[in-house]
Amino acid sequence: MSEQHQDCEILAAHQVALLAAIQNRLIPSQDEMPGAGDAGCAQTVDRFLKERPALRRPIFAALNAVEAAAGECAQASAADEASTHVGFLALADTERDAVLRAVEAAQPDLFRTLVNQTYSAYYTNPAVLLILGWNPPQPEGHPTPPPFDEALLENVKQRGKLWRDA
Amino acid sequence: MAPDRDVADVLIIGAGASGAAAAWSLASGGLAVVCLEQGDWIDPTDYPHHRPDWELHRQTDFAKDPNVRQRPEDYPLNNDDSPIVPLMFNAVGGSTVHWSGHFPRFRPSDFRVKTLDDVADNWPLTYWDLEPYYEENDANIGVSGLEGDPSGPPRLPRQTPPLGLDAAAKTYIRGLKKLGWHWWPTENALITAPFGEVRQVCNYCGPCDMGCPRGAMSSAHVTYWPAALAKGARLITRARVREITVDRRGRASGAVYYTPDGGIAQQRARVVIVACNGVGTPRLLLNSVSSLFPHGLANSNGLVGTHLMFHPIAFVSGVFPDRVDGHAGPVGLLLHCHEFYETDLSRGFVRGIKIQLCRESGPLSTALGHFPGEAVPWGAAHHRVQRERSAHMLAIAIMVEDLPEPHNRVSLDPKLADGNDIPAPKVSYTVSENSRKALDFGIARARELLEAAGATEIMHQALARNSGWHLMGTARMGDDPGNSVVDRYGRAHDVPNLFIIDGSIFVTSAAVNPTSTIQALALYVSDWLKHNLREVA
Repeated sequence: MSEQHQDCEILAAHQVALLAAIQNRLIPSQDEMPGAGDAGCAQTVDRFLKERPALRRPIFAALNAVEAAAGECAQASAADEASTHVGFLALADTERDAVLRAVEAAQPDLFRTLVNQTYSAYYTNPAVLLILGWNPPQPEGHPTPPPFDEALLENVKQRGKLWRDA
Repeated sequence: MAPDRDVADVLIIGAGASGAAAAWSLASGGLAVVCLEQGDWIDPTDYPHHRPDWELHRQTDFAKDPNVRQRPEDYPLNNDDSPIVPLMFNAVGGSTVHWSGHFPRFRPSDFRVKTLDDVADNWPLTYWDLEPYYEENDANIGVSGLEGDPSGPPRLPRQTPPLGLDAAAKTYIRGLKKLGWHWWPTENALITAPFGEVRQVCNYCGPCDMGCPRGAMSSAHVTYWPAALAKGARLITRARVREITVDRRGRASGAVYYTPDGGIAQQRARVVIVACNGVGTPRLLLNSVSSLFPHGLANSNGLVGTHLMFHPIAFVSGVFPDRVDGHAGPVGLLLHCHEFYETDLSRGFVRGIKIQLCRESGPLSTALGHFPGEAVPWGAAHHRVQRERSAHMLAIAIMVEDLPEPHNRVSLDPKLADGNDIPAPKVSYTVSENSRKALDFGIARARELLEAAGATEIMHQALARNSGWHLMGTARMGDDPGNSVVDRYGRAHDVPNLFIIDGSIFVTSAAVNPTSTIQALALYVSDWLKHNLREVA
């Protein structure tokens, strides 16, 4: 039986590590922005999987597809060596990106689920939102703009009636 | 004989936009009104607007699509044969609990399309029949906007002023002025100034589509329901109706419903009003089978469920070099353009389009490409593109008039059922060639407009799947019992004390949002019923 990640209830420890590594390529770290995996998005996706069981099948399938494609990538780059299973975590960043693009091309719907759930975790992460300067919509709302200026409508009014009698 | 106190004068099924308006009107007239609603009151503290993960709730408990939301009070839908998914909310207030609140009226021509354009059918009533009820409804709930729009008949001053002049509005106006097209501030079911005692005015927070925790949106649960209850209407929540019952004479006698614990109860009534929306109403009628009505209630001509109309919608999004702060205001509300609303056959299609100038939402919506249908790319370019789009994007909705076609329909799915094992609806729908041409025309115009407004990148979604907000036509109104389900007063041709008041009774769809017309019709039907109850009941 797979070892469970201490912060996760659905994903096994190796799946959490794999997902975080994928997420760091989907949304990489740049300047002040953390990578999605580093921001804890794998753990957040685990929560999504707990709350929405329908997501489990596509996410598990996507993780398996990435691992399978990573194995093929490693074999292709070491064709003259003995064939051994090499996973996504063993690849360099450029190879990881190539693997992800291959999975995206072969199974776009599965891959889109992986991307969407990663985006959903990242852009609802309080630390990320703090860096980006986004607050929840309430209670502050946004500043009330100046009143509408009816004078802007003069040209429209001058055109006269635009509807048909019936 | 003393009246039976267990028998309501009027039973209303559904507590949404139309059911709420009717409950208020009929209770105000002294009638004993009972309403059965499968949902419950939404606790204002349930809204996600105060939480950092507020945008996530569009995918979960506040999703528009009941198949995604899957609250216990929702029923599933089989949408496999439809490119557009019906959207709704099941609660007190119905789909007005979370909506854009765009509140235009139909135009006079919208009721006379057979006469004017030789398509579909005329309504058995006119704009002018409904006009006093449009005004009454606006006064009851509070509408923001500006009277004087030359693209429609005159109307009384709006209850509160139009939304303010922000960066998004200025951006659109720049393009509209260059092109010389019609435009006007939208009429909105939302208050921008004090109206009523307990509601707070809009503070431009943005995501009206997930509800309004301030009560600024003029939703039925903050407008009509408190007033209806004060007038004595009785609202029973978490009451899922299984069927409308009939007596031996073929008259509606009430409804059987499930209580929250799974028990069965019955409510008897002298008159039954169905207000379950354009999908829920035909579903209930088709599920109300008896020896007198073996094919469903009010369905002797087989028309119940047919002629389903959506408003097919395309979204066109523009990215601007300067901030437009699309998120900083009601997401669906700003300005509208009716330059292409009336028929011009040189465009290649009949009837017209509305160009609705909308905003954007938060960073997750931007990243997922909610409006443009094109997500921000993953990988090395992600942060750059997200920065370029976030708070720099505006979305235009192209809404076209969907003409009624009998093969577009709601039927009962042979396998799917809700939590009480009541058969669920199956939706079968195709976008007509006319609607497709209208959408393509609108997309081209929206691109012109965004370009004129200064957009540097323009994307579009040719048909938004999650856009079935407007559910119409499945129990159509008409004078001819062979070609319609209800008469000009919403009364079923087959069942003299059964009325329908939601979007099901629309004959045609116009190219504008329907709720203003749905509520005006509900008040119009209720008014007639109040004056004719003795004859009807």
